[in-house]
Amino acid sequence: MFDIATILAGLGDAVTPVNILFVVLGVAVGQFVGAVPGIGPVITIALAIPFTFALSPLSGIAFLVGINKGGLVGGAIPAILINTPGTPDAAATALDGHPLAKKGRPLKAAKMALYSSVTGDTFSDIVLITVSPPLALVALMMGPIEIVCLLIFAFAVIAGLIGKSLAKGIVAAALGLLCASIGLDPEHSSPRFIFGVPDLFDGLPIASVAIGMLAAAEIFRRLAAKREKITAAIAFDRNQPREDRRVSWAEYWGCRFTIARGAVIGTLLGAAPGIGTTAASFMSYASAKQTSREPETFGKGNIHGIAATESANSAVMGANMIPMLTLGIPGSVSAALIIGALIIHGIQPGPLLFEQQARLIYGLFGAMIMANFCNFWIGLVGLRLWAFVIRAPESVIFPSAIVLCIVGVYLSTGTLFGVAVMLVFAAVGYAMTALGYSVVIFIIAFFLGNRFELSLNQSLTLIDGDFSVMLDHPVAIALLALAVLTAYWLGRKRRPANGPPD
Amino acid sequence: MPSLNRLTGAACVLAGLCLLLVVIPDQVEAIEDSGVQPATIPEAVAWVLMVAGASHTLFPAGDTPLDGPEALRAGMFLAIVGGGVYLMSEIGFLYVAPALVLAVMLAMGERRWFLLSTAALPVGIWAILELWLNRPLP
Repeated sequence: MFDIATILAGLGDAVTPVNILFVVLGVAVGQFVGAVPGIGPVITIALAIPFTFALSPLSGIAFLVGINKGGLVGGAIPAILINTPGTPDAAATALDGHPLAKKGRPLKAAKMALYSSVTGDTFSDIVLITVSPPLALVALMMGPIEIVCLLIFAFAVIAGLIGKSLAKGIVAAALGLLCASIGLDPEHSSPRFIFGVPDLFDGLPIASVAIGMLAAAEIFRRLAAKREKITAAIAFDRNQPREDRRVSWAEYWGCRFTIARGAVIGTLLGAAPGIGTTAASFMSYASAKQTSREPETFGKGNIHGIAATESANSAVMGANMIPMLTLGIPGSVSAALIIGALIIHGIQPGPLLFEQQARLIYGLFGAMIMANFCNFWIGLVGLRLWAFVIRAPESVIFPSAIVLCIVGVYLSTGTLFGVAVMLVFAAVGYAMTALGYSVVIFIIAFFLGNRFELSLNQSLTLIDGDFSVMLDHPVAIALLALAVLTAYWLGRKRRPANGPPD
Repeated sequence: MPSLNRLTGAACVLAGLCLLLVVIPDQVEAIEDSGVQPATIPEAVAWVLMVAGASHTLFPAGDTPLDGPEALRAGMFLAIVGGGVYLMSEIGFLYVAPALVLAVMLAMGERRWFLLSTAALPVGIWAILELWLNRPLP
């Protein structure tokens, strides 16, 4: 599709001092915020997007990708040390990570998480680099009808895979679509659900909805749950024996099949939009336990449990970029934010991206590989520092995080109306979580809503009342059939890997 | 807690009906000579809400981990932050944000004076954004 010179030029762009600096900075910031519960990479990416306006597209996007990758590593630290995942992605890591820390080996657990995370992430990046260009060619053959059917299939998978109730998943997706329809409709620019508020003409701000439902709602939940004396929860013994502080090569090599399996699961689920890291982590954990010779040791500090979850959730990140770059479909909330940043920088993700911006994309690939190395070294150097950060009392962390949410949304939207929307969606997110409705499904439906409506309008115009036109689109029919089958199958079968294993 | 599950299902049915009969006719314009109306997606969503809500009312599934006292406390913190945001629009970020941090810390039960100095953090954020990066705050 394009020559080797373009690829080499792109990779060369990635290793300029400025880009290296922003990758390192992004990874360091990502690890830091990932290790602070309640903040996480999503809010940080939203906060950082306005700061990338002054950077070149490659530096800016590499910085955001660095934050995302760093956040995946950082999120495991509090999961292991205080049984509180810094990010939802690390929830499964706490299952064996925290018991191992309680046994007096928190650094061993944290290092195993780091090594597995970097390995899984690198694997999925290699898949991204090698699979994306041919996938983009396939994507070019997909018209509006196929895109609509693909999105219907994605909605079916998303609704069924997250949560125990298919009806609740469908309701969450419907509410997300409804919120996406607020503002001017994409076909006629006719106002919908404005209620006399001019700020709503542009629709609900993505940053307000995402930060409100994911970060602010979680902060309010944690604030409300805090009723005991406020303490620094970590007891960290600095005088451990060496073997309890490190992961030997033999231990790492002994986990190679677990890590490989986790990386493959994470990559496959990450390539499908909206499935997310949490599902990948629990699936990988469950499969590691099922294939282990010592399944009874899982949940009690088995190092394979950490390897399985961290390799899977980190592999999702690179794979999320496959639908994002080739189809313009965000595989996760952070990918949706990165899409927003790409568009702000004048780059339209989608089928034509590899033709029009090949050099930039290969530069981004180079930056991603570089970010993995940075993750490894910064993670090794910074483990003790991150543990120190987690010792900060919650009474310091959460009020600071609230102010950061307010500032981040205000900077993104430019008005306090955006902050008010954030607070409304914090309440909505809290209520949905409390009533068992998936916030993640809502957010992904909200992100995909406008794209879905636009493609649906185009498709209906193409079909023009004659549904026999569909016969000329076998891929679309196959995707629709898959969507129906998936919805039916998921409605009947509750996945055992969806919740924490026994 | 199946009864709460059924209630949320019934609420979805009501919300769908309300959308279909009241909100959409009032808030979405009909365009003449157009195959795809602006109301198409909202109406489809309303029907989906009714069908899924009815299904959930009849066959409830999944957890409802609602904790009443915790929800009230969350509402209290939300009110504090909401009040702070309102005051920011009236007085300004620089004056209100430190008080907001202090109010949240005190509401959490924090009384250690050296930690309460965290309230100075918004001043640092303001200085970085307003003075250094020239990004205006409210």
